[in-house]
Amino acid sequence: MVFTQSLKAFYRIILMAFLWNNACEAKETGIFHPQTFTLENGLQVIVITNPRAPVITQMLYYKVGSIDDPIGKSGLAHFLEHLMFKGTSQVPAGDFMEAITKIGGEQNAVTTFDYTYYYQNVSADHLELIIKLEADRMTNLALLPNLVENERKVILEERRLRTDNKPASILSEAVNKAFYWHHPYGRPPIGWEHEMKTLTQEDAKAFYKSWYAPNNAILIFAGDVTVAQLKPLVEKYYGKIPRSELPLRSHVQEPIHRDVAERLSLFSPLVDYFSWERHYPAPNFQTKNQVYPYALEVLSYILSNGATSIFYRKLVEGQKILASINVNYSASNLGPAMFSISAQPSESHTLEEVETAIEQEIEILIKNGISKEEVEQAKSRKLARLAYLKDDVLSGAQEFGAALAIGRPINDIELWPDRIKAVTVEDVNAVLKLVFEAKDHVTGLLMPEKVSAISLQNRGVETQ
Amino acid sequence: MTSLRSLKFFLLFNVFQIIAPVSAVIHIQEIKSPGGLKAWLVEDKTTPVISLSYAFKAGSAVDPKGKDGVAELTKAMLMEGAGELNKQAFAGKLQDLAIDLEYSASLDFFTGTLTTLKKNHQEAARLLNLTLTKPRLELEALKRVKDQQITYLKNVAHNPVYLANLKIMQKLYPNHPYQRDCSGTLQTIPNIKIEDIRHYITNYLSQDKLVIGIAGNLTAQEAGEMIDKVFQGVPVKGQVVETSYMRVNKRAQTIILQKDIPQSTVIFAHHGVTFKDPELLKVTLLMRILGAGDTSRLNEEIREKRGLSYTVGAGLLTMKYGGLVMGSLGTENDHVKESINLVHTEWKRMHDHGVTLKEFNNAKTYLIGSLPLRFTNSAAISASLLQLQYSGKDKNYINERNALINAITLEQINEVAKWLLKPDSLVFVVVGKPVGLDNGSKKSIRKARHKQ
Repeated sequence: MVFTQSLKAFYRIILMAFLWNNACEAKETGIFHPQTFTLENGLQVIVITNPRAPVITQMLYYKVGSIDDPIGKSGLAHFLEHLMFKGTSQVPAGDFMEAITKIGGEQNAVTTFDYTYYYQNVSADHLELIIKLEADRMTNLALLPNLVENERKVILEERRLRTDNKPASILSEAVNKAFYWHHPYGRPPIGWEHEMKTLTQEDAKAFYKSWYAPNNAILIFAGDVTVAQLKPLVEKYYGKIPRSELPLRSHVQEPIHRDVAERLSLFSPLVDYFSWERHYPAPNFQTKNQVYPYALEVLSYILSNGATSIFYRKLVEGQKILASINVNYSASNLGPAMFSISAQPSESHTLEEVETAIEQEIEILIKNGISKEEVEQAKSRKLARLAYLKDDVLSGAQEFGAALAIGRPINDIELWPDRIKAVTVEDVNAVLKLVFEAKDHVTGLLMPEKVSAISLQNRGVETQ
Repeated sequence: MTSLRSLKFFLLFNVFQIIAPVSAVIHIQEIKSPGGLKAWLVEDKTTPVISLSYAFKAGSAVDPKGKDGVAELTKAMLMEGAGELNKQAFAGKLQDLAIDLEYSASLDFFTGTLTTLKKNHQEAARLLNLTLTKPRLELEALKRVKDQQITYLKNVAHNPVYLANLKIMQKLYPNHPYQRDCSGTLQTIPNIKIEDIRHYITNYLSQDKLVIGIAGNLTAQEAGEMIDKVFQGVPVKGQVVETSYMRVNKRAQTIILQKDIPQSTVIFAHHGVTFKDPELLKVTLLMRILGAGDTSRLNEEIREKRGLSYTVGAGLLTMKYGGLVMGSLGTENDHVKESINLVHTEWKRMHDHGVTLKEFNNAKTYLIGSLPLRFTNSAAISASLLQLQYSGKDKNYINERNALINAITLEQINEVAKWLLKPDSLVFVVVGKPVGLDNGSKKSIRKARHKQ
């Protein structure tokens, strides 16, 4: 779940994530071959040189996200992200945006559960400018009261746009809350509306002072730039910022759910369709068995990647009960991960039939297992896409940022092809059971309001 | 000796730095295949990828009356198996070889993009050719594709942005194909038969309507051979597209579609320019200042100063037979009236007083500086080659563009503001539950003018 300073770049992020998730053939070890160095103040720097076009990206990741929002102050990390564009003691409000815009640059920022990042894409001759500006706002943020007031209205409009206007988002907020009983992933990164309204200049200032520091950040460059060009500039601007004492991040553990399954439903006058989703608890990269996340990545590909996937072949084309189905899994979290399925019925079928068909297919899969051929085919198809990462000048930065920001090593990205190759059919079937035999899943149903309770009972859908 | 070498390096480096911003963009070759097809190519030996973008100049605007959605369904049906390969075999082959093949339909164009690794480009060309010349078009597949389209239409049935866009096109382009929904409607999709899809393919996906852009690791000769392979067997001549140019001319008005949602979507538009307009560069520059990006006037007045909207902006919808200046914002129902007034005020202010020298200079350097960011991967490059061609540009345009931008004067831009911006014909469509607004009311707008 991501929230951005503006909407346009959101699509690029989705695209990049897509390229990555679908990534990837390596005859050589490694993908991006980054170079790295660390400043005395603790700032870790990663450089991916690709001179294909005269452009560069700078991405700065702070290891702080919505999970660090204080109790009662949900949305604070995201609010601060917005305020980072509102001027510093050195660069007045508006000048930052103007400086990037007038050189034809793109820039934005994103707040996730676990981290927050800022980036600029510009032509390569403006390297020093973006370093100077980004370093400046790491330490000199002004947070003027009237600008804070206006920006609070903006984040509330952002919430209305992304969530309150959309029944599907309202349901998924509730489903998320049900999935995480206690862990802060149950709170939306954008914040609960009533708490967002109470966020103040002081809240933002305190959060900024606590978390924004070179020793809590990772700085990544990709594109037409070398370490030799970069290092003196990074030292000059970021090097002078002192390290600071960081607060401990709260590590709230999710309690054991003891087989409690939950069902949530939303009947909305703003919905003319039926939609079903189920979320299972799943291992992430913090898990003891290091193969599991990669095996799950292969499994999700086999289940729902395109027309040849098991679910599509059997349930959309075969039984014709579903119009569409998607599987979603990301292990890249500090906290507990989700393995999710979402589907819509085809025109003459019901949500009950959708649920039954998917459950039956899962039962068959658990019983018969996924075949070795299917696993090998999925692996080679994933690896075949790897070469595309070399085609985009700016690729790589986001992959490293997302990994390093949650404490994973560089090699987790560089050795991704080897890790995928190492996944066996036994691994895939082990994670298949692990995930789908869990009883503590959460199911969400979205339906038109005009469907009456009676007809729903006939359809076999529980009403609440 | 070492120092001499480094001095040489230093000099070379500097030369590069100086020429980079001027010529580093891209080098376009105009090629003609052995079979006589024309294409633009940007060759790059440093990438393992080849991207082919092509468009047939006939999109959803040629959908037969009562059968809106034919082009859209065709896009899906071309991926449902072709030649000796059924859908599963076809899709599996694309995945095995990491070939991305995608079709899309807009009002004016039916577009395809093929992205492949160099080593698989021969097979990729063969597969793509099959979709165009031997699509299976099976009835069972059509039934499912129609079903999926109906599900999609139900998914967007209450989507405020979708509804607002549809409404404004219907209002501005009555009795013109541009008022149509490319996606089709719940009424039209069931009417579409396999013959309609076949008719569209045979009559509109023809070589005489073709525009081609290629980027990546292949020479002019290889590119010529590849496109011949891709388009062999595609009809040489098809049906003539007989859409007529339409000049939109409406009085200022506000149309409200009631929806019980907390934030209203507001879309506004009036007549603009086509993508072949000779003044397009100047128009783009002006619109940059009014509505594009983080520093535009609309963003400044509505988001930065007042916090009324998370997204607000305006730009151009350029089409072949018409064009719009168009913008949008989303704001709490209580603030719709205020936001509309602000849009109107800014429109009029720019129309009456033009832009400042600082805004003008920043917009120029933006247009120049942003160009390399349009070429960061092969697919982006081939897509740009397509766009440049159908907009009627010369292959040297991209290298002359900076000089053309630099030659634009402030006076010229202020002239453009006078003829382009029409505060008195700005039509607003609001989807939501706006407070204090009436359908068709111009009261709020008059008030805004008065304030000014």
